[in-house]
Amino acid sequence: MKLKTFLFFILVILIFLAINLTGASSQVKDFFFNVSSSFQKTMWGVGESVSDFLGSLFRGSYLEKRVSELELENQRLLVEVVSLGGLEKENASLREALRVGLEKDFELELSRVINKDIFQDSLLIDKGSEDGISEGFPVITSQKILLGRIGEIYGDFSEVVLITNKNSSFDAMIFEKDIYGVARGEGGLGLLLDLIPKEREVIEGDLVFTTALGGIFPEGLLVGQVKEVRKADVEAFQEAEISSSFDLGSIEEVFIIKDF
Amino acid sequence: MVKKTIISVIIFFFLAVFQTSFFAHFNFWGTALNFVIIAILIINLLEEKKNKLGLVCAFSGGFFLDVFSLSGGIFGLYVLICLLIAFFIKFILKRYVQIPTIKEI
Repeated sequence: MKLKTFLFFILVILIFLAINLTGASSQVKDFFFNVSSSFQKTMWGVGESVSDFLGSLFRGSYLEKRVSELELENQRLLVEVVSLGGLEKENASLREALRVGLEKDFELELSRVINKDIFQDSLLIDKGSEDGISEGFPVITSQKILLGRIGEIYGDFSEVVLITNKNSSFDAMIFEKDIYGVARGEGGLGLLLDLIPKEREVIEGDLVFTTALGGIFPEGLLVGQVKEVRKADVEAFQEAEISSSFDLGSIEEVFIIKDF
Repeated sequence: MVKKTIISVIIFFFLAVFQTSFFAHFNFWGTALNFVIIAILIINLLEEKKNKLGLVCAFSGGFFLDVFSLSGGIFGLYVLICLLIAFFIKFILKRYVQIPTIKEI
């Protein structure tokens, strides 16, 4: 009996070695993703609804305060829209005069989120190599908020490595202040903007966008907002903790940028 | 034993699916509870040392954690980790700690 058990374990080890050495693990994963994808999509949607419902039960007073803050913000933005209306007309005339082309649209592919990795900040979406998806394609939400980029690709599915993933790092800038830094994922949905020059002033609430430096992401995608600034006398640079703008709980559909 | 093996494989498949889709929305400070590992721990703690179902569950649970893990790396790593957890509980922990067990799960 013990010999049988021992031989069984040797066989299992050999099978797993074969799977790893021949690269068959992606086919194995692809098979199970195909089998479970429709059920997972449903469960993702159900989880989102239940999470929203439970969240609303516990956040009554917070929501009330947030509504008042948003009403004030809305009024401020309305005033800004009116003043920008005038600037837009001037801008259009200048473009016409200089014959400058309009900003290029992205070539986008719509995809649905199926699940989130248990151990790290990655999502699985339902588009893969069969749909012309390649590694490194940026992924955004419908509000043009940066989510991450394509990592591992399968036949009909792809991994989206979120910007908060520990392996994620890209150039970013603080809007209207021309302050450049490197955004680094910390895992657990945390994001840090590092290598910010110490003499530049960064405050809570500053908006962070992508830059075209490094060619990883297109310029001008919203990354998040500064939550906390950290400055140490012994350090050459300051860093800022960023609150990413995407809400994982409310994402069902994403857009893959195939060309930018 | 064959019937229990098939049932445990199906249960752990659905548990892994729920873990990555439904329970992904319920996280605390960016981390979610791993119900697959919790199930493996409970089954191995409550099962008698001579029974093998705990090891089968550890294998199934680890296999589906490998399948639904997007991190790349070695396929079979979580199988190894879960089996080690099961072996540790059955053959080391239970030698020194008295834990009430259920005769037959």
